[in-house]
Amino acid sequence: MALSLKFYGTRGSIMSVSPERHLYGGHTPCAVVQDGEDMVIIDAGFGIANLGSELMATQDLIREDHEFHLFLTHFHWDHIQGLQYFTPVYFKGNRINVYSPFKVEVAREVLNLLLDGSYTPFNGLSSLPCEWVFHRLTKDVAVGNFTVSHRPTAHVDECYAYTVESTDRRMTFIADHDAQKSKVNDDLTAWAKGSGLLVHEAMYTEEEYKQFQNFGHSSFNMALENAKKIGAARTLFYHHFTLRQDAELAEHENRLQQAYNTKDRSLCFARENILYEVPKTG
Amino acid sequence: MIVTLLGVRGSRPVSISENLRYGGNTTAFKIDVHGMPPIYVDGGTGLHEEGVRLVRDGSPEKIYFFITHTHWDHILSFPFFKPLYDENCHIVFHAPVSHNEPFENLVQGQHNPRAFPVPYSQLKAQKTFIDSMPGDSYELEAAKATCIQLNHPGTTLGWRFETEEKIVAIVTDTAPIEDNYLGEGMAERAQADPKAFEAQYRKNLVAFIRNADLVVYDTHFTEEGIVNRHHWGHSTPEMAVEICLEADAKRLILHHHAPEDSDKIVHDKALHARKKVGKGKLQIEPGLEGMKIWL
Repeated sequence: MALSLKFYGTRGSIMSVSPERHLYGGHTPCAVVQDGEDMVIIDAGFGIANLGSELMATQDLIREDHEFHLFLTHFHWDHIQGLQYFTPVYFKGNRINVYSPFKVEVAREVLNLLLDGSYTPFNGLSSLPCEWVFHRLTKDVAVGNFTVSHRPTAHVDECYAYTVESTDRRMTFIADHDAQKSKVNDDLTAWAKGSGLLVHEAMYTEEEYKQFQNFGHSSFNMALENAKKIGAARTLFYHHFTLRQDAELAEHENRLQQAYNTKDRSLCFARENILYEVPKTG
Repeated sequence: MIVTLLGVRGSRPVSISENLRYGGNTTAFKIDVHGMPPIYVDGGTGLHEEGVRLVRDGSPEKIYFFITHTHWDHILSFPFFKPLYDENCHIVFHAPVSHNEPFENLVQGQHNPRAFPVPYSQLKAQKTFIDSMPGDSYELEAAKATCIQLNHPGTTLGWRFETEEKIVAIVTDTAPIEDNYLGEGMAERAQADPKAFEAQYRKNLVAFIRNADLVVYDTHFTEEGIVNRHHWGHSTPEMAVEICLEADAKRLILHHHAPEDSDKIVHDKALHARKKVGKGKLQIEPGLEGMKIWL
């Protein structure tokens, strides 16, 4: 086995459900970084429900005493709203470790609001059978054989990018981020250098960016510039605009690939349920 | 009267190839009645694109919402519902109060600054929030709306819309009542005489659906699937059929398809339900996203 990444949700803001938007995925963000037994989940949009179903179907061990490591980039609904549908939370003895650089009280407060008795049949985190363990990240953290580190992105609210590193491979995941020139962007791209795989959000066309730039997302060209700076062998764009259809995404993907791809680097728009191997570093 | 099914999936939206035919968006319906503003029931993800269409075509001056209950799958789209940002639009919400929490607070909660980038103050539409209690009734321009409490955690309302010619009853989400008191206050009311409580509940539900031209009913589960899950708050096609037959309803739409149900399972649920009824008595169809029903 080698380090790999799989998306369970590639879509930004709100679920996008339509046969015309199915190819590039319709679930809100969730991705899994895995190497054998070591597994890290990034974000808990509705995609995490399908991860739960997949684990239920293939592994009995999630029914009890299994440990999960969930890293949240931030607490906007589309990145957390699937948590109550992640089947392992219904089994006593399962431990869900929730990591983010946010204060633990903030993390608890928003997740308790998500699970409020008026919005759900539950009544907060403690009403679910699993055990919740919150970790505030202040430095790199080890998860099995992985090292996970973080840096802030430029978004409307606090938001964080993560790298997951195994012995010889490194993957960087840049969630919601406005990549216009800034110190945050400079620091982020410098930090991400040396990754074999880069995931970068790319939500808008250039025209849409002008219209929506206060929402803290990148245009295709801005994400492309960051990809060049970071220089990963493989780059995936995600957080697709909710109503953008497959045909239009494919057009942008082709156009950007022609501008970007060389024998040393390639770019794709992320799709759900495809296993992307992380190339060796260097 | 035209009823449009904008979202028919239960619990959570899904986008997987096996269930794209019936659709993966969660509960939302539109009811067009001649001579009055559009009526919408619930704001699940099925409402999102409808909001985009409404603004593109020019928002109506007034929109009515009737909310069955405030679980996420029924209200997810409101922060993205474009007419709410239009100062020329007047939106009237009728919604139940669960756990003493008025619906307006819950809509505000959806705009918690940690969880959503646009503040509630940006919703420039004129908003009227009406807290609906079971049994309430509203005379609208060309229709009457009445509600009843359903058996689902929190306070959940079934909505009946009646014009001079036609009757539609929306019954979602709801579970069988027998020895299963899920709705707010139900266990307390059942305590003295459970059997009498159940009989009264059922009698009220049948009266609520009586003579309906169309019934949309929560049929999340199959008969096998509901075993040990009565407390989840959902029903089966067989249960919906039984109530509809007793109430002399004409047409039944199976709604709130389980997220894991493939198109084939949904299709088969309707087949089995039809077999149970026999020909001619009650027309049964699985809810199909985008379907328009002219009554």
